Amino acid sequence: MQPDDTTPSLTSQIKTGILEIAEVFLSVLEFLNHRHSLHCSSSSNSIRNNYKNPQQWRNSFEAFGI
Amino acid sequence: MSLSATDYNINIGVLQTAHSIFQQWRVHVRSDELFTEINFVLSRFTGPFLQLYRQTASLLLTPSRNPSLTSPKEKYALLAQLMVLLNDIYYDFTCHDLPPAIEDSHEEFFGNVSGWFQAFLLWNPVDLQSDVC
Repeated sequence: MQPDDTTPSLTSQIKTGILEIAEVFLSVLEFLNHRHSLHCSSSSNSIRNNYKNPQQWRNSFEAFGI
Repeated sequence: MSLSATDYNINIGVLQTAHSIFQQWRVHVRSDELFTEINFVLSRFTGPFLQLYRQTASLLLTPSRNPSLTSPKEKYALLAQLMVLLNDIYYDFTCHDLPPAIEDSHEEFFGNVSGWFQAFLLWNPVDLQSDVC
């Protein structure tokens, strides 16, 4: 595909993709924490039923400005 | 068709096809049926996907280590095009839940000092300042 005037550069597309990943990762973490706080079973409607410590990961998102 | 260690045109084709399927998960409601499908894909695809991510990221961030795959700049742009797709698929994999392999490699990707993502946010290669793709 040939880029036109409105096509973002590849560098920009990569950086935007990473920021989108960080955002969705954080929203999934919030969902998991909310579900945990409600003491809901996680044995269904999920990929898995146990996690390490999602709360610890929050610090790593500061660098992404989120 | 499977992923190749050296032919990035093949890899782009494979990942474009994979992403066209996986991106449909983004708009689906969480259900056991959806997670059965995602788990099946993860069981087959996560290992090769992460391996390709590491290889491509390493080539883009330190192209001098393997000039035969990173130059001329058209080849470098091909790698960058592949990285766009790899990020799209990473998003597909994490849009509903955190797969174990993604959780296990969290520091490798999100780490503040040595993480791939942080490295790419600071990355500004001369060869892509006028994109050729």
